[in-house]
Amino acid sequence: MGRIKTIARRSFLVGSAAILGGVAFGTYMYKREVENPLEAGLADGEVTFNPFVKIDAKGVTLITPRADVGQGAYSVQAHLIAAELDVDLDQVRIDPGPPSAAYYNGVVAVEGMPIAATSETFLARAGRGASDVVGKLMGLQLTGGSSTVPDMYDRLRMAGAVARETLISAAATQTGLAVDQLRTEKGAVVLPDGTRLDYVDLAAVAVETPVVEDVVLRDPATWQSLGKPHQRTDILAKSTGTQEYGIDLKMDAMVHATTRTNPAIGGGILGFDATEAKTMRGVQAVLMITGGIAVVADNTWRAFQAADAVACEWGPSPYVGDTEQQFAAVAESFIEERQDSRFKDEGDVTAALETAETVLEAEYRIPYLAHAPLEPMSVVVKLSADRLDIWTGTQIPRFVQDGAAALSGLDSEQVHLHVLMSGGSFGRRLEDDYVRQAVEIAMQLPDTPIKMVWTREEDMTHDFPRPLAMSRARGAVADGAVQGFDLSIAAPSVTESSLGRLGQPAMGPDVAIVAGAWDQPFAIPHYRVTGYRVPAMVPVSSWRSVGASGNGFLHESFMDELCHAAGVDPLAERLRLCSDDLSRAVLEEVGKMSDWGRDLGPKRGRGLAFTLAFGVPTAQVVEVSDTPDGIRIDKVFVVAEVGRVLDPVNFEAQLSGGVIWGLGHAMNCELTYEGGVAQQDNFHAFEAMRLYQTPQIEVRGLENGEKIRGIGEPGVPPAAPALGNAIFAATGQRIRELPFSKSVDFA
Amino acid sequence: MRGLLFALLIAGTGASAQTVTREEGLAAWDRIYEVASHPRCTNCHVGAQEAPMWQGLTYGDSAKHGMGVKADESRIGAESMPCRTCHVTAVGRDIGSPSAPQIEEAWRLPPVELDWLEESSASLCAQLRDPALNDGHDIAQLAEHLRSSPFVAWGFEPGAGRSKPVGSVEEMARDVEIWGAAGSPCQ
Repeated sequence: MGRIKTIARRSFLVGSAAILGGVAFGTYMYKREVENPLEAGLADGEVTFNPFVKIDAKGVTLITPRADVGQGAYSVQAHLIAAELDVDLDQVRIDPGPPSAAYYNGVVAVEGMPIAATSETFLARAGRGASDVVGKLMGLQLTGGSSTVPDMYDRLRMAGAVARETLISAAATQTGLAVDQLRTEKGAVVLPDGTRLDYVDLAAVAVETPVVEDVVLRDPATWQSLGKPHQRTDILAKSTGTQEYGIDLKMDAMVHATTRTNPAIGGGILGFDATEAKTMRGVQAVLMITGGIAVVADNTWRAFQAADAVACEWGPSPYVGDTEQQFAAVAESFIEERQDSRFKDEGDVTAALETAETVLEAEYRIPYLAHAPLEPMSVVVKLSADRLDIWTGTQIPRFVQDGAAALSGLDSEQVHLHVLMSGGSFGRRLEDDYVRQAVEIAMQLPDTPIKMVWTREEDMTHDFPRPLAMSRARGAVADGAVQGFDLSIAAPSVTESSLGRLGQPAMGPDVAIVAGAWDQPFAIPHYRVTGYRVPAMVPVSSWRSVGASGNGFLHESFMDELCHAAGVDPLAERLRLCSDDLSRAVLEEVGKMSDWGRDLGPKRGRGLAFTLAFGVPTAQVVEVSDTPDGIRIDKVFVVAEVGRVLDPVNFEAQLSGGVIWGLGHAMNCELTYEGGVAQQDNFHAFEAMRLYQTPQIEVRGLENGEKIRGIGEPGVPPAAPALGNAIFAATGQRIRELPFSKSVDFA
Repeated sequence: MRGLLFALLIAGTGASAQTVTREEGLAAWDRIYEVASHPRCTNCHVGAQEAPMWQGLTYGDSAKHGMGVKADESRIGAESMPCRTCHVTAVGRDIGSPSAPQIEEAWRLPPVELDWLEESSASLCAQLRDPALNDGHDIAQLAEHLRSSPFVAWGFEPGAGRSKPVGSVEEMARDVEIWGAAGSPCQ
């Protein structure tokens, strides 16, 4: 057990202070049942069996507490419950539920631990168990890290099964029949003679029925819907433009606000002149908030216009505020004092590199990247004397609740958070800065519903970006094989930055600095991955696929260089080195799919990359053509291993989306700073992959693993290196800095 | 003969075949080419290609208009989605970058034969002096087109934040006349 403490001390655990603070207390708290938050609000005749199912006179409600930021989380959660409860989704309501400790995430904290997904040692298992303890102790309600499916897979099916069996028990009580004579179907308990007792009608009896907890989950072979293509619960609304997002919420007597804070990050406001803005049509107030001003008007557009007319005197940014200086700080961080981790150190790298016949060295750079969700940050708040209501799309409901409570002086129980559908996030909604601004406005304008909306420019220039990073890699090849790989990565710490904003401690090394690099399943004889922590510069945060998003590029591009230097085929060499059966199957499958080895003809090239991230081995092959107009991406093949595919359609959508996201940013995007001011303020300067540039994408999911995994993020990391490797194959040009558009044009 | 004809056409403008030397004509052509090959012009003079270019912006030299537009045979996108869906016709508005530029006419691509994109000076010169290749214009009509076209006017005053070619509409029209008066020399 001593080693578990060591792991806790040496690695970032969300709320690790809670564990270290007292094991006895922690054990007690951990073993205690979590409260069911639905019990607090039950009316007469309403019944809840667990935190995920509620039945009242109007029908059945499934609670789907993981945020839907476009990845289909509501849909998959609903399907998991429904698979056991026997309801059709068009019969039920889906509700994200209130913020509650019951909705803790027991999986996500493992991403902060230095535990390789392929490791099944005692310590690795113990560490994963500790993640569940941390999540439960903290009541860590958080959506992220591709954790929704692995975390909720058993819990939601169990919730559905408990509700089903309790309803059957209620029906048995009501009819006098034996439980084994009853079955369930489409929202009703069915009697032997075919009579249907609707769940809704049974609710009153179920209130008095002891909850049946001893249930057996159904064999996946009997699933009716899970595992087969199904229509997402939001697809009709999204396809017809009727889906309402947070930004669409309207209320009677609502006023509209927007804010301007210092474009030089963290520079604060010294003073402002709102004389002109106050005379503008519809403007009701110009208020001071932390770091800037807020304008309240009768509609959002007028608030935007008036905010532009406020003359603000800004202070200078306290951060290292020029991108050139920022990269210089990264370059200076490859020193012993800043070494953060060395989770991988096999063989004798130093000796191998000293004696090798051929040694390669290369330096790679990746830029800051904004999240830039299509729906900019927005929130509706209403504050009265003893109650604060907040409506917004968020991945961290309990942090939002607690932060707003602290700011407004209310207790957390007095803060009512209503989670709404998000128009994208990619990690941006792991922050609550925009909610705090709205609460500050509400404190100056109580008893009024206030919708606060940021402009795109405010959103992009006040993002907490993915950090920039550099790698210095050295490698040794001999006898047609990769013999040594020494990868050093320097980056600011995402975990330190974002946990700091949430008031949480972050101790030990930051796994995110080397995620997707240190834990790759290759048995290279001499293999070392070292993380260096760059002192904090502009505040940074998690971005889709977090550390692996950039580290995939740093690791897999250099791996390609080594393979070419050794004169070996990149796929064959990876297969030779592969130390994990699941990963090998993924590599073999992508080779088959892409007909790897087939000659593509002149001016064409094919690149392979593989990343094991979030426990998901993912391989991609990108095919490109070198045309007179530039590089054209023709086709991408993707294979991922997730244990079990719950919805083939959404699986394909998530992986394809990850590829497009990864490729688009690698091609075109960087966030640069001058004087602490982000230089790219809208999509024209931070360009997504265009429709005409989008390649054919062929997706395949493998289900060989025992563990079920999430698929929102793993599609991203291999995309950039697969493209870079393909460009090299087509043109001979090795590009070591993103975005690629700095070096080549894209057709 | 062509030089003499042009001299007559431009009588009264101050330039004449008698006073415009070949060297002056070539110098005028160089200035014309500098404008005509500027991305502000070549982004729309794209020939058979159906999408305008976005050169000279931040998207790289080969970047085409990003919204998947097609000008189609009408060159205004009438068969698919008219350019004016976004390039709303507007009067007197200074639409800065990166908003969709607007002028007081329906946005469109020039005729296919007026393909200037990546054309050399010699090639563009030969094209412009030949009515069969320049949409049927003689030199006087070319000058008149420059002076009257909202597109050309916009090209020289494209709104805040956009690069623009050197000179003005009038200077370019005068250069065309000088070039024509000198016999439209190309080299």
